[in-house]
Amino acid sequence: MASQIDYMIAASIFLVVFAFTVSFVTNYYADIRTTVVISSMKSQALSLLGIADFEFQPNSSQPERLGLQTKAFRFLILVNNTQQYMINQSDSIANRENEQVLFNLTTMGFPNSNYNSTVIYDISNNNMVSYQRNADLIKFNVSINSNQHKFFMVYFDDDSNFTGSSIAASESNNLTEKIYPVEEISLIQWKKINQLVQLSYGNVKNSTGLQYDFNILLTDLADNTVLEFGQSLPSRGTIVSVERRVLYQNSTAGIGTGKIIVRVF
Amino acid sequence: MKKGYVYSLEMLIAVSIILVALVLIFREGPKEQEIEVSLLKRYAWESLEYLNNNGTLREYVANDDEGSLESAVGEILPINVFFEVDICGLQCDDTNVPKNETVISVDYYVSGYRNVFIDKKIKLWAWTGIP
Repeated sequence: MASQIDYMIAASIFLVVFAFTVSFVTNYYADIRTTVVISSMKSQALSLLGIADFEFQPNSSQPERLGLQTKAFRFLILVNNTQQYMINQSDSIANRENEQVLFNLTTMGFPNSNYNSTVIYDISNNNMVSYQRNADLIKFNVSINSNQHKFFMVYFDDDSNFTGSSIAASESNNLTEKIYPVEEISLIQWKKINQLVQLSYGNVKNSTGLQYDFNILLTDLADNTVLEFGQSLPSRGTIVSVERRVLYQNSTAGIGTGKIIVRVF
Repeated sequence: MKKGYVYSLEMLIAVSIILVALVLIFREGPKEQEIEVSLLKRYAWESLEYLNNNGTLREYVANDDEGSLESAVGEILPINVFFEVDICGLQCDDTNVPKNETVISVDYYVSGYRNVFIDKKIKLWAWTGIP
C-alpha cells in the first residue's frame, strides 16, 4: 500500500519533470521566433539596400519598389600640350592660359542627354571646371604649360532635371584633344533623392508591403547626411543595419562618393 | 518490500529516459539560415563594383597594383571580414586563403582601361573572423 510519502515523492518528481519540459520547450520556441524575426528583418534590409540598384517602379506617390539608381555616363579628355598634338604643326609649343576644349554629345552618340547634367572634373585636383554650353555643344578652357598634359573627366546623365549654368569660354584652340570611349556607370540620382524625400513614409510602407519599420540614410564619406528617409530609430529593440558604398549626384550635378545605410526595426 | 524497490527503480529509469529524450530533442536550437554567406558575397561584389564605378578599379588592374586594390577594398569591407585579392588571368594565386574557414570568392572581369585592352580578372576571397 502506498503511503502519503510515496504520493508526495511521485508528485514532486512529476512537477520537476513537467517544469523541465516546459522550460526546454519555451526556450526552444523563443529561440526559433527570434531567429526567424531577425532573418526576416535582414531580408527586408537587404532588399531595401537594392535601392541603389533599382529605379522607382512605378514612379509615383505610392511606389511598389523603392529605387534611386540611374545610369550615367562618363569619358576622359586628354589635353596634351606637346608638338604632336598641335593643330598647326608649324606652330611652336608654348604655355596656354585659355586653351579651348570642346565636344558635342550628339555627335558622340548621346543626342537625348540632359545636357545640364554635364559636369567636368580636372583629374589632377578633382576640381569642377566651368563650361559654356550651347545645346549639345560644350566648351571649356584649360590653362596648361608647354609639354604638360591634363586629364578631364566628363560626367553626364540622360534623365535628370538640372537647370543649366554657362560661363563663356574663349575661342583659342591650338591643340587636338584626345577623347576616350564613353563608359556607363550606375549612381544615385539627385532627382530621385528629391522624389523620395517628398513621399509619405506611411504610404511608402503600405505600397511596398514592407513588414518592418525602416530608415534609409545616404551620407558622404565624411558622414554628412545627403538623404534620410523613414522612421527615427527606436531607443531599444532589435535593429538590423546593412550598408554599401555608392556614387551619388549632388544638387549641382557633381559626383560624390558616399554610403547608403539601411536600418530595419 | 522488495517490490517497492523495483517500482522505485522503474520510476527512476522512466524519468531518466524522459529527461534524456528532452535533452536530446531540444538540446540544439534552430540553426540560423546561411544568410551570412550570401551577405558576405554581396559585400565582396559590391565593393568591387563601387571601385569600378568610382574609376579606381581599372587603374589598379591596368597597373597590376594589388597593394592599392587591397587597401581600397579594406576600407570598404566591415572590419570583421578578412579577404585576399588577386589580379590574375586564368590561374589565380590562393596561397594566403585559409583552408579551414568558410570562404566565398567573387570574380570580376576587367576588359579595358581607357583605350587599352587588358583582359584581367580580379578574384576576391572573403571570410569572417574576429578582428
